[in-house]
Amino acid sequence: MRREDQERILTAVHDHVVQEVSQLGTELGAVRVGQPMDEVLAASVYHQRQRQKDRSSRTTGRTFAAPGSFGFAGDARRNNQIFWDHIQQRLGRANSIEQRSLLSQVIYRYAYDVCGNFDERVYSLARQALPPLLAALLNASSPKRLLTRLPDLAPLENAVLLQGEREHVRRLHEIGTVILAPTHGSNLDSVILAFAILQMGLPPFIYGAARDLFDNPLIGFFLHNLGAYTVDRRNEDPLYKRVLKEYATLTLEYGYNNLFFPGGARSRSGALERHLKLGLAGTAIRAYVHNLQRQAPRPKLFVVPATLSYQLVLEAETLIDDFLQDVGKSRYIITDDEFSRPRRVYDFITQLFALDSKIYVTLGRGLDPFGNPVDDHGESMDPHGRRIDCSAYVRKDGAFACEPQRDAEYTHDLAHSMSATFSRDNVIQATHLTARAIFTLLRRQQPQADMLRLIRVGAPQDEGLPLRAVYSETRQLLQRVRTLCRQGLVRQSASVAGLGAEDLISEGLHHFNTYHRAPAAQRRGDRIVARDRGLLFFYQNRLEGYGLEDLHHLSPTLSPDHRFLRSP
Amino acid sequence: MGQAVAALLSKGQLCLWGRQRPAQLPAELQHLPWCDSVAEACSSAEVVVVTVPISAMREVVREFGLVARGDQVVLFVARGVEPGFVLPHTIFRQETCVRKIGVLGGPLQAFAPQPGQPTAVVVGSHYTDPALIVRALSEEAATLVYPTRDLTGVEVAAAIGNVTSMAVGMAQALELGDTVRGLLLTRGLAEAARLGRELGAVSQTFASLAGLGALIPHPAQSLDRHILLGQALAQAVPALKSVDPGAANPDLDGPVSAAEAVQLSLQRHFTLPLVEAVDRVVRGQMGAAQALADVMHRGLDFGEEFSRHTTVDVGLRELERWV
Repeated sequence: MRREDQERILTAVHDHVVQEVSQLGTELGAVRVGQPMDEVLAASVYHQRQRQKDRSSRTTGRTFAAPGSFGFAGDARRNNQIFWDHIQQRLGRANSIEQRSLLSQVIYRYAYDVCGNFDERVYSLARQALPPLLAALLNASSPKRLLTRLPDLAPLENAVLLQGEREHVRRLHEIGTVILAPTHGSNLDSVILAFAILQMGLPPFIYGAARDLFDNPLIGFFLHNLGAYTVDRRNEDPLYKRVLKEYATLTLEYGYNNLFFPGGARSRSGALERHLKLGLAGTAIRAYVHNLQRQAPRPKLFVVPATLSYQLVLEAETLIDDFLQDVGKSRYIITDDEFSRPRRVYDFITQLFALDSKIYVTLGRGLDPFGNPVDDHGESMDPHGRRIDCSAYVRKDGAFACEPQRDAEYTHDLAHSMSATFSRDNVIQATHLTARAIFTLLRRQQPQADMLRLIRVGAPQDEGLPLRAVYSETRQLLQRVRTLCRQGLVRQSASVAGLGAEDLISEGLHHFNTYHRAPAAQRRGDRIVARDRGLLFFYQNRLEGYGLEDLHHLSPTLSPDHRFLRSP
Repeated sequence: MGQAVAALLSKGQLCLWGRQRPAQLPAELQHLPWCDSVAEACSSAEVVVVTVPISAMREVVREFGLVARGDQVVLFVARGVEPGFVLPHTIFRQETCVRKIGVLGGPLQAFAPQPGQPTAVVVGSHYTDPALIVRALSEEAATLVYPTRDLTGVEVAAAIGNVTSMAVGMAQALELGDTVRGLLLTRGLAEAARLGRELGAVSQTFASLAGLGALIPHPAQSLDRHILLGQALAQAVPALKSVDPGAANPDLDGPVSAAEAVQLSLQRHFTLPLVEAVDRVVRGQMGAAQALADVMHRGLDFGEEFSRHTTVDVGLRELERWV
């Protein structure tokens, strides 16, 4: 992002949020009922105190300072403590003018934190601390150079298959501002997407990266090129969230393309996300209304759903383990998974390339902020493909305005459209089918067992499944999947389209044998033995939501929103 | 029905369109301009009120879709569903770009308001504008407007409400008495709620004005058309060939709602005994007396509460052994 824009945006963020909070109606037409300022500040202090308490009781192994902080980790914490002590102290005796000043200080602090002024010292430190191999990676200055330096690895270009509405998305970028909304299954997604964006010849997208990600210097490097801003997921202060949303909205108004994951976190179950977070999705409408109000030359915003599909997921073992823990104790933020171990990441990438495994990135048709599809000229279409004027949705009595309740409903519709697109653009691969076939046979062996028991405990004597049965099951699944494909309800990889059941199982098992600590399933003579049922469950979940369980009168494994196991 | 709604929204600047222009409009509506096409009526309107029955809705809404705009508010009163259990609001979503769709439900649908008496109407919508508009366009004191976000619930309550009315009509013709009437109303509501939950509705809607509240005002001798249909079905001899539910009178949505509800219940593995009974009678598969008897004389159903073992109980049983 250009420096002058950043400064202007920071000022605007501050001004807008202050206005929101201090009960002043804005000339832009959005009248908000504000909260008493001291309450807002007291809430902020409370949240920060809670966090400091939590942090002091948790042991931190991190030695790098997060970007946007003012020094080393220890310094940053002390700085934080001093700042919030100061706020709390003055808040007790502040009159309304002083409160306004305190509010400004807090908002600016949050805003600078979000903006992410990268500290060069972080990167020099990282380079010194890492083994030589990774230091070599960091020395490269562009993603392409980086990859050609690694010996006998197929270029990323071969591994990543960018398909779908490529040309359409490029046109949308010329017409207005694009928000890319991809599915999220792995922390490698950011890297893959960065590459895809480069492939399309588009400038880097503004992206809110979780602060934890910057601890991994390899990814931090890519994110820097992306123009990322920091999102502190542990900060629960509503004021911080307002600052974050305002920042994202303003970057959109300034014409910067954005990227955010509507699912929020990586899919723990392996299934496509159906429960979408609407906070950032709602910024599209706000930015659009503001654009219309100031008669901006290019007011339109387009949301492009992108569906990623891997044969193998780097963090699968940690993710499914977390999912299967007691519901509610599932960790929202996981920082100590496979992604934080550079060796593991390196292994994964090299093995994926060696297997010539494809990572599919399917770009969907653009949507307007209300969930309607748009044509190649960026015009919104109604259900019969007729052009409509989408500014009508936000027009009342001749003027454009935001209306929180109404806009939340529109965003809900947008989420529905995104979800439907993910489902259609999902690419089924050999590992998914193999896992599904095996897991379904296991379920049919014990139809009464609930999922947890089936996965954790398994059968008393596991002699495995006869190969013939697995082939037969796969054939049935293939038939259904291919029918769904013809109907445009799902996609299939090249292998799934072209191979027979035996070859597909072979490919699936080969992949399983290559990367994870224990293979999900293994062939032993004329039987297939399930070695890690959790992993099988994870990969088979990619086929949840298509009604395939009807084949054997089984019920779905997951709840309708794919967040939990299905309640019996 | 359309005339009742026009009277309700009397404060607005109305223009009318109908599939057939009536020879004589009631006095209070005669001064209103008449439009020759849906497009003419709707293209410059801020609010579009659709009062045609469900069987005619899609065609009308499709024409409206040609001129619809995102800032328009749509209100409708149709009860019932399309084949596939397609709810009325879905028709608007499938045929137009309009989002602010509101259903008018509750006792308003049951019968036309008497002049001078207060009326109550439920406005079911995901947006606040439909209820605000009904409030703004109706006479302040006389109309009680209750907004709810559970649009689906109001529609399901209305659809199954008509099926229940048919059952009530049958019971009346068979002179089964007031207790049975109460039983059928209760069963009908419970089954509507069961079906509604399956489609994402909120249970409470069925106990509220849109559900229970729409059934209570029915006087025992009601002229509601579905009650009359039920009476007629009970008095007829069951035909030996099966009857298509939609054939009878396209303005009566009850038979189609019953048939579609049964289909849905089969697909999703739950039962709707009363709705099934009505459906069988409509199709001529069974006489009304037999069908209602089947519903009323069901086996003892010990619910979930009988199968729970609490730790306290187990503890007491253990104690008993030792004492």
